[in-house]
Amino acid sequence: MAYVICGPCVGVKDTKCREVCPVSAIYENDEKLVIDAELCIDCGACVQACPVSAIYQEDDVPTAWLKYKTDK
Amino acid sequence: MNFPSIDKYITETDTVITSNEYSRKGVHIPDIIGEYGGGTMAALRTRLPIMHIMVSCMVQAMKSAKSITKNPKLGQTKITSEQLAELEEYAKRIGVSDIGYTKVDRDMIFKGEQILYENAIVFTIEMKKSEIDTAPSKTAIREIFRTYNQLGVIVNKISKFLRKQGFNTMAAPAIGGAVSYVPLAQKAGLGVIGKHGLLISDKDFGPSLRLAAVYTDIDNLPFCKENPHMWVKDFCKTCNKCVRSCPAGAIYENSIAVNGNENTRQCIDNSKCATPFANDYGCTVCVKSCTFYNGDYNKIKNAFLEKS
Repeated sequence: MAYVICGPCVGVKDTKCREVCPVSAIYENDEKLVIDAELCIDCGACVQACPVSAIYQEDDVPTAWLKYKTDK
Repeated sequence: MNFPSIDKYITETDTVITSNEYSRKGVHIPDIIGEYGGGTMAALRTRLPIMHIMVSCMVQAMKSAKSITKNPKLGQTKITSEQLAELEEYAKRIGVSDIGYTKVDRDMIFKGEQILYENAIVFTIEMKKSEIDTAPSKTAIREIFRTYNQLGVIVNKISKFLRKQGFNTMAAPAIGGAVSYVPLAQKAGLGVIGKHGLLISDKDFGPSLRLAAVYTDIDNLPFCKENPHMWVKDFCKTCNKCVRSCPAGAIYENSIAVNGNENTRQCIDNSKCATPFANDYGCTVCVKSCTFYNGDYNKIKNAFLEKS
């Protein structure tokens, strides 16, 4: 299991989630921020920190944003 | 319900170690259920599945208390490295996950309680994740009491093992003990206390464990000098998953003074924790939601230390 950063982050890229992530699992791509599923330890600290509520647990990602599960 | 104590088996030749002014009052689970639970019927429903194991735990605890009369009292206080290796091998064989050594601080002894020897051999055993995953449930509470009981048996066996070799011991079962085992285990280097008050170990079951001890007058045990897991304290400051997961909101991000006592600060609010605990098959949500229950200790350690 891991967390996934979804649509609301596009163009926002607020870095609060990166600051709170204890294991530096969050990086940036052209569009938005991305969580490295291999590094994610599933603590969920980023969920609360995100100002635009963009972060979901893998199993709870809304259908419209499923494509972000395979984001690189 | 009172757990068996060593009081009536102590003789004039025994020196006891007592609690001190910093000691905390021990908590008795039946009292919590009485105070915060939904009455006798509810208590019966959630505790019935474990009543028989509870009886067995009491039998083991009685045995632990009474068996101090079997101490050989030979004045033998040094263990050889061969004997120690044999002890550890035996402990692993009867189900122990990890062993640590430390001296009991008097603060760790519950108010009004006493022990016979300050040298502690501390044991952890795993509460199986396959069962704890289902918590709160009948399956989980059965697993919890299986480990209480198994540890009761284990500490009695270890005591017997050491007495046979001429050492004095006091077996301290997992339930109804005189000492707060979590700080004791932390001092013994077996892990670190998380915000949830549980001992976080480096094993793949993380905090899903139970603790017990054997006190002895063997004074040359390899006592823990430095706990290698202290980095977890800093990690907990950033994670807070237990804080968010607790169904009762009983775990705070920042510690509070217990009963207004600044010497004992913790993140757990005992009275809030007691409500779901007393009204269901226990709670155990903080155990199974801990990052160290779900993740790999070394993976978390490496990534965390690299960042900080």
